[in-house]
Amino acid sequence: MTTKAESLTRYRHNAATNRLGLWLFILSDVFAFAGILVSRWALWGNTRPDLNQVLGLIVTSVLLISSFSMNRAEVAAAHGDRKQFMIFMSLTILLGIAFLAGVVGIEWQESPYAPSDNIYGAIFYLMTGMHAFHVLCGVIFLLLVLRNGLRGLYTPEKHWPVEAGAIFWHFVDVVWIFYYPAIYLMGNLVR
Amino acid sequence: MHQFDHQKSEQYRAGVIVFALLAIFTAIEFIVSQMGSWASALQVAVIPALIVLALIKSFLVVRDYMHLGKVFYGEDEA
Repeated sequence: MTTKAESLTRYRHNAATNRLGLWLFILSDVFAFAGILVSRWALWGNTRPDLNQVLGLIVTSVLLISSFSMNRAEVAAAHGDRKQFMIFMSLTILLGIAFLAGVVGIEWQESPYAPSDNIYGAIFYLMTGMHAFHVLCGVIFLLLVLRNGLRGLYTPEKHWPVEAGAIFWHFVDVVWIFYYPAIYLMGNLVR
Repeated sequence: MHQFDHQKSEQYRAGVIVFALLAIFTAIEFIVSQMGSWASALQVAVIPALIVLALIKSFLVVRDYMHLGKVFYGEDEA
């Protein structure tokens, strides 16, 4: 029979191991995203496609706000504030869906290129598609975390899944921090 | 309990500061890129400036939102 203190120590030990594993996964994912970014420079050079600048800024802002709300949800979970956790986790998920709607639902439809048209279409869809797939995975993961939160499975001492979801979500934001300027802002416009 | 609430409000405040910085840097990124298209003489500086801004933004997120320090220092990070 283990005491509460022993159980917490074991949980923290497991969380530390899981945390290290998650960061190793993220590191491996960084190489995939970095490889695509290098392809952008190799193929586009100092040019960029003519994309909707306003939409690019809006979806970037949406993802930025979602990172902030994810941080709020994590802090709330760490302090046992269940109501705030639910509100900000739900907001993060909604903003993630809004980001997907902006990129896949609008930007892909407005794009002047198809994926097989030329290097601009190929790289544009590769970069936004790979990133959007990660956002989609993040949204699904956060929905599971939210469901478990609604069932009262997290406490201030034991909420590793919330932290894991937050780390992954912020990682997706970090990727976009590099992808947004690389796709929308850097280089001379190609018409 | 008071200490617990204080810690929570401190963490909320840190989150707001990071968010504000990220928003400011994003706005600067957008303005810098537009300046490059208005004045061709500035174009040389646009890409290095955007890379530096992206590095600063990612550093803030990794340090303050992703808590990279926890990997090295455990729960006592921050």
